[in-house]
Amino acid sequence: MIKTKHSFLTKIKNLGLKRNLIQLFFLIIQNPFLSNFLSGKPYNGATKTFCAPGLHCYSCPSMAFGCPLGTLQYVIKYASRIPFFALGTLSAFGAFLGRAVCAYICPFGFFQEIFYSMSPWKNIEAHLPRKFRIVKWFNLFFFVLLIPAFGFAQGFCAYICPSGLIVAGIPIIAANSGLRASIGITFWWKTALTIFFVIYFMREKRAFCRYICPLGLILGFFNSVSLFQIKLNQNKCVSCSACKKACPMGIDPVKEVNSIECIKCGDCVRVCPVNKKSSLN
Amino acid sequence: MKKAIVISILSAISAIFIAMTFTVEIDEYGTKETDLVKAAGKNICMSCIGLYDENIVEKIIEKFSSKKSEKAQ
Repeated sequence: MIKTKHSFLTKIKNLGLKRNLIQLFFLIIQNPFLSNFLSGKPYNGATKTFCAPGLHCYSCPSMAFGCPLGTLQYVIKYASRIPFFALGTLSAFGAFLGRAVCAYICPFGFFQEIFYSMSPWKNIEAHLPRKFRIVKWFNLFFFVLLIPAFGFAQGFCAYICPSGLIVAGIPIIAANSGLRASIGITFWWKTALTIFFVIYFMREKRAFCRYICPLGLILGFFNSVSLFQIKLNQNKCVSCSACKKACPMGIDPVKEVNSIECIKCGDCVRVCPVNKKSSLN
Repeated sequence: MKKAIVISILSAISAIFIAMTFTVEIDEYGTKETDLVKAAGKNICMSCIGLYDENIVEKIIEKFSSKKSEKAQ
């Protein structure tokens, strides 16, 4: 049997819609300046000094906070020093929530879930082999740390991040005719990659979180020690595999609950048949 | 108990890290890390919007070949 460890969290075990509402709430909180999309200029007020913990883009016109991954690369590139601010923010959120940030706060995670819910292929049990998950390790060490450390570029933002292109690149370039003249091969590369990602999001649940996202990986380092945990009671488990089928990250919660891959969304708790017979409901 | 200690330590470390960014100067002009974070957030980032068009492979080769020639000299 799987259950959330803290009593107040057991109340949100029927998460289906409730989790989506929490995601929507954090999306609105993080993006209050929607009118900035018309001018194509990012908000630059006081809150931009702080980072929200999820993957977004600090160039997004409506975003009230910074992106920790962008900030991390920016400080490494321009100051050639350890990015204490981004690391401090991520370790603070990591200590309390771990990768639950991906399930509840990250706007890009929510975006993927919306796309998957609209998918005509969502009943197909599709997933890449597990070894592809190593791509996010490569992204972290090569694109996020190494390329900025040599002073070349903010590697992940420049060449990979589809979030930046969707929420910042396309609206800003659409609103600023002057920037359109600067479109080059990188823009078309990112566009092609983003189209591929978006199509693939419809085929596999949380594909970006599984294989690509270095931010989720950083938060995953805190997963086993964070305050928010999913508790597994091995003695009551009936090995029905319902949790495995429901897991958006494609892991087996019985073996890997709270592992680096687990986003603690609670979908396993919701579908656990033993849980439903217990007093937790 | 063990977990509580780990979480407390992590929280303390993150508080120290964040406090450092508001207080420690990173260059002779008195720039703090938060100033960099602010600067990053206030401007349109060319990397993020897909307009960073330098040939990175060329730059890497250039950097390493210049280091080699420096060593040779």
